Amino acid sequence: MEQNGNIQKDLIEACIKGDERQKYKLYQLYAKAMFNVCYRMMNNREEAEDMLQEAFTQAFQKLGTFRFESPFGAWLKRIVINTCINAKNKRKVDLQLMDEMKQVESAEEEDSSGEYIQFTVNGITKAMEKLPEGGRMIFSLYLFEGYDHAEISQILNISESTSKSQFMRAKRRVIEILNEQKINTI
Amino acid sequence: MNTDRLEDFINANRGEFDNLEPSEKVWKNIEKNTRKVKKLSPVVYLLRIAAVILVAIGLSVVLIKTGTFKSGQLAKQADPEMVELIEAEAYYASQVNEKMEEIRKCYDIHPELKEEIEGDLSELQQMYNSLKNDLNENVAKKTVIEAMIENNRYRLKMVDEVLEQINC
Repeated sequence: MEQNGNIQKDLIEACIKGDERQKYKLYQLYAKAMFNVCYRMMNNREEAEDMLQEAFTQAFQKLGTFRFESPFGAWLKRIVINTCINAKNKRKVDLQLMDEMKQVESAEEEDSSGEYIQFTVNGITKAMEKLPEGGRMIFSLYLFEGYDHAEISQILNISESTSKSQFMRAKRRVIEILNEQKINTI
Repeated sequence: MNTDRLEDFINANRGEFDNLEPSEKVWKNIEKNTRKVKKLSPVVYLLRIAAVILVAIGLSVVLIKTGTFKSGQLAKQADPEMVELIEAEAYYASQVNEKMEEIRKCYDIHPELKEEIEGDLSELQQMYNSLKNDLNENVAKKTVIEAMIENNRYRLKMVDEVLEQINC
């Protein structure tokens, strides 16, 4: 999708001119990927749909400012993520970060145990849903959306070291949850 | 380590994690929102106003042109002075023709009359024709019309006088 940024120039220019059919085409190209970004950020299907709607509305409104310097998917994704962050900020609830002490202890125990876990897409998705909000966002932004810790620190308005440590904890917590799931299924 | 394997697994199966589909209503709302914005876009709005003004100016120019042309024609037709002239011309012409018929009966008795009166009448007719040309030039219209009616009156007066004199 990323390298299609300039290939889609004609499509994007048609959308700028207000061609409704081309707008739908552009939406269809990115809607699913962006919806999953929204879901990982919001952890709620309904809210994710609201975010997708708002982000695409914004994107179409300021499509004229897209300069074809970066891939369109990356430009759009940034709008999607900003929309989600703004919605979270409006609730005026501090980013829920992960409790340090408990995590470190359990993580060390976990890693040292070295138990082999068979990963599945479904299992990881479910484990992520159980993460605290801040940890889940950082985990998603780093591993799924491809941002580095410097970018994440800007997006979430936290320090880079917080981003790094939270990512480590989130990762360990996912393993922990997967282990619990494994125990439960046995 | 499990944490490293977790990263590797996600990287290797990244596409499969995007397995949720948004519902249809999302696009419907986006379509609705962006259409509305399009209508409110100030540039498009101003361009539309400009286009309407241009069409209005163009239309009024055409209307004024054809309008004045039409009303000019109507004015010419309905001009009371012209109507008066046409009526006067018809009246005097019939009077003069009537009297000339009487006079022509006397040509036998007074042959010299024919040359005299017919010469005078043709001279007056020539004057009348040149006045008609002046009228078409549309300059000092009122004066020209007056002269034309005077010409007609003079012709009638002339034939009246001749008729009185010859008495045949």
